[in-house]
Amino acid sequence: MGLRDTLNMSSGKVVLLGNEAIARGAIEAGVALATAYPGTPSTEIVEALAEVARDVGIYVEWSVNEKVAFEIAYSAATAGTRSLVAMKHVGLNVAADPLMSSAYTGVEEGFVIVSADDPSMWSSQNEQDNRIYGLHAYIPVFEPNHPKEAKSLVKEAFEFSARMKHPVIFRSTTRISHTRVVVELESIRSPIRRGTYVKNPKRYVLVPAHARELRVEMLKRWEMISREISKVPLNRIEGEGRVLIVAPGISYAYVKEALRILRLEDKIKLLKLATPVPIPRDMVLKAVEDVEKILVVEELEPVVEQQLKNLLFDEGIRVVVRGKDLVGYPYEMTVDRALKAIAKFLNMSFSMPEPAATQLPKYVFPRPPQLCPGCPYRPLFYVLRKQVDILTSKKGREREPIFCGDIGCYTLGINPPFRVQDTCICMGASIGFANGFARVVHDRIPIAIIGDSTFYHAGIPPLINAVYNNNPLLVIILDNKTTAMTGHQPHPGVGITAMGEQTKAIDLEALVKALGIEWVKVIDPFRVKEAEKTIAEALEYVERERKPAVIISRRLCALVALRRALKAGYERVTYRVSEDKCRGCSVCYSLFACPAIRQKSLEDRRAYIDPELCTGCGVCADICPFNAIVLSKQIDRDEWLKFWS
Amino acid sequence: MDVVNIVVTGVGGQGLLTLARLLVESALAKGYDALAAETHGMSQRGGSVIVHVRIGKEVLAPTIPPGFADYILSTELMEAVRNCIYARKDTIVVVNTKIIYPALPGIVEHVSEDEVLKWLKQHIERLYPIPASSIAESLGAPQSTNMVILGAASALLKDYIDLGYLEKAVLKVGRGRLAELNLRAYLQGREIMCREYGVC
Repeated sequence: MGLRDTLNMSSGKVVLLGNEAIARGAIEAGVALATAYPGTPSTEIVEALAEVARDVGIYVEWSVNEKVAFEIAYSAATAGTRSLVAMKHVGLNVAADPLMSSAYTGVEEGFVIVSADDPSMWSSQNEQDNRIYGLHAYIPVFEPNHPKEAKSLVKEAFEFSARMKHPVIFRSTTRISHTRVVVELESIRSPIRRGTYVKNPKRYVLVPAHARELRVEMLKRWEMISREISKVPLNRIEGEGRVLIVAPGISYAYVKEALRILRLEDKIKLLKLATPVPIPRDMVLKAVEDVEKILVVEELEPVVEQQLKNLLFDEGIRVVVRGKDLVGYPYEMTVDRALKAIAKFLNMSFSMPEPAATQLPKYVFPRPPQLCPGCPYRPLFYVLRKQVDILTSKKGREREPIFCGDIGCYTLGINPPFRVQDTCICMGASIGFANGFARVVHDRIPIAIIGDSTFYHAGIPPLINAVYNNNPLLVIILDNKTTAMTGHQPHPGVGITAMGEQTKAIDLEALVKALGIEWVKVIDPFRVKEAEKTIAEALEYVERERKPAVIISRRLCALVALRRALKAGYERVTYRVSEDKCRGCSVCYSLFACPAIRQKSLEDRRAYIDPELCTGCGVCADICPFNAIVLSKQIDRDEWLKFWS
Repeated sequence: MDVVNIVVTGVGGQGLLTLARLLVESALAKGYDALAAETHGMSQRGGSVIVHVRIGKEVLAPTIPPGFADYILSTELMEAVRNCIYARKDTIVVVNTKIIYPALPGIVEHVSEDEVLKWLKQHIERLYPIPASSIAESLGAPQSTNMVILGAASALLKDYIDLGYLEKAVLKVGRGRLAELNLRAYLQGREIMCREYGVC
C-alpha cells in the first residue's frame, strides 16, 4: 500500500515516518493550507500532504523560499483558514521577519509553524536551537517527546493556536522527523476555512501607532499562554522521588531508556515536557515540591534550564539545578550521553558493554557523500578544474579563482579531485560572497556556483546587485530541473506544482538577461569540449570587461533521468572498459572520479566499471584518451540521453 | 526479550531505508512495537549510511548506543567494520562480501576482501558472510543486493518479524519484473543462509 492510501485511511495501526505522522496529524486537525520550501529534515511533511491534497480537499504548495511560504500560510490563518508552514531550522532565519510580526498581530485560525531542527548537523550548516525563536518572538513551542507522539501533538498545537488566536511553533528534530514508527490513525477532520476576508487594519497594518498597542496586547496574550500551556495533555509528571529529572522533547525518550538501564525507573520523579517554551509554570512548581535536586536533560541550548532557574529564583525556591554542566551543549542526545549525565548527577557508577573492537584497522577509509554516477555536476566540475588549472599554469596559483559555493549537492565539489568550493555559508550566499570578493580581491575572479532551485530561492537579489554595482564575477547556475538534495521536489523552473499541476516554467535565460546580464550562455555539461571553451571565454570576458557574466549548465539530475527511463520501460544502460585498449592512464577514475569506475585491482592500473553503479551517462567514454570505454550493449546513445534533458 | 537492536548499514543508494522499513513493518505484523531511525539528505549521496532498527514490546530511544547492537546487517563489507563500534563480541553480523570504494583518488588504500573478513572473524563470534552482490548480479538485478541481505537475515530474526508478511511486502518493492527479481533475491538470501550455515 502506498503512502497516499495509508494517509487516506480513517483508522488502523500503520508505520509512518515521523514527518508523515506530522502530516497526518495536520490532516486529522483539519488543516486546509500547507506551504514549504524543501529542506532536510523537514521535506516529507509537505510532500506527504501534497500526496493526498486532492483527496482531502486541501491546498499544498512548494513556495519559492521559506519567507514566502511563511507569509502565505500566515495570511491564510489571518483569513480564518487553518494553516501549516514547514521548513528546516535555518529556513526559519529566512522567514524570521514575518515570524516576529505574526506574534504581534496574532491570527484568526490555527497557524502551526513546523521547524525541523538538525542536532548533530546530519544535513545542515549549523545546529541552531529554534526553541529560542519562541522566546525571542513570544510564540509558544511544542515539541514531541517521541516520534510516536508527533501526530497527537500537532493536533494539540493546532487547537492551542486556534484557541489563543496566536501562532505556535511545532519543533521537530531529525530523530523525530526521520524515525519510522508505529502510529495509530484517528479520523480525518474536514478542512477548516472561512473563505471570506474580514478587514481589520488596526490589527494587521503594523504602522508604529498600531504596533505599540499590539505589543502590549501580545504581552497580555503571552501571560494567558503561560497559564494555559500547563493543560497540554502531553505534559505530565511521572513517578515520585526527591530527585527530579526534567526532560523536554526527544531527550525524554533517551532519559527513560537510561533510567531503565540503571534500574532507577521508580526511584526518580520525571517531568515530561512537550512545551519547552514557555515552560508550564504551574506544573513545574508542582513537580519541584519536596525535591532536593534537579537535573535538566536537553539537547543543544539550555532553553528549559534557564527558564526553570528564573522561575525558581523568582519564587524563592532554593534547590540545586544541574543541566548543561553535566549534559554538554553540542550534538544530539544519545542513550549513553543521558546515562553518563544521570550517573554523574547521582554519584553512581555504571559500565557500558565491552565493545567487539576498541580499534578499527587502518585501512578503513572515509566515505563522505559524493556526486552520484551520471551526475551532470561531475563533468562540469571536471571541465572547470581543468580550465582553472590551465589558467593558473600560465598566471600562477595565486590567481586561481575563488569558488563561492552554495547549498545543494554541488557542495560535494569540495572533495578532490575537483576542489571547487572555497566557501559555503547559506542559501544564496555564493553570489553574495562573489559580490564582496569582486570588490576586495583584485587578482582572483570570484566564481559563484549555485543550483537552479537555490537561485530562485535567494540568488536573484545578489545577481541584481552585481549588475547594479557593476561587480565583475562569473555565476554558474547548475540547472538540473529539480531540488535534488532534498529528494527531487519541483521548483519554479520546472513547470509543475507540488499538487502535480502543469504551470509556466520560468525562462531562466530570459530572467538573467532581464536583470541586465550582458554575457549569458547555456552549456550542456555532457559536451565536454564545448563546455571547456565556454568557461574559458566567460573568464576572459569577466577579466577584460570587468562585468558580471552567467553560464547556465543544463542537464537533468541523474536520479530523475534514470527514474524516467525505467518508468518508460527501458533497462539501465551501462558502459564497460575494453581491456585491450585501456592503458591505465587513470583519467576516468582519478580526474573524472566517477564512483562507478575504479582501478581494476591492486596491481592492474586499468579501469573497471561497476555495473551495479554505472548509469550510462557516457561522459567517461568521451574523455577517455584511448577510446577504451564502450557501451555494454548496442543502443542509440541519443535515445538514452533524451531522458536526461 | 526487552528490545532487539539491529544496526542496518551500507552505502547510500543501496536501498537501506527500504530494508529497514520492511523490518519495522514485519515486526508490527508480528505484534511488536518497532522503529527505524534514518538520516536523509547529504548522507544519502554515496556516503556511509546507518539506520537504527529497534523491535520490542515498547521501544523508547530512537538510536542504539555503542555496544548495544544485537545484529548488524551490512550491504557492504567496509561499513560492517566501521560499525563494529555498535557491536559486542556476541553480536550477530550478516555482511555482504563486497567492498565498494569511494571515488577519493589518492586517499583510499585498496585491501583484499579476505583480509577484511579475517579481521571481522577475529572480533565477531557469529559472522555470516554472504556474497550478496554476486548473487544479485547473477540474477540480473544488481540493485537487489539489499534483498539478498534481508533474506539472509530473515531466518535469524523470525522470532521478531512476521515472515509471511515480509515475503509479501518484498514483492511490493518496485514494479513488474523488478518486484519479481527482488523476491528472487530475497529467497536466494534465505536459501544460502539455510544451506551454508544451517539457519533455516
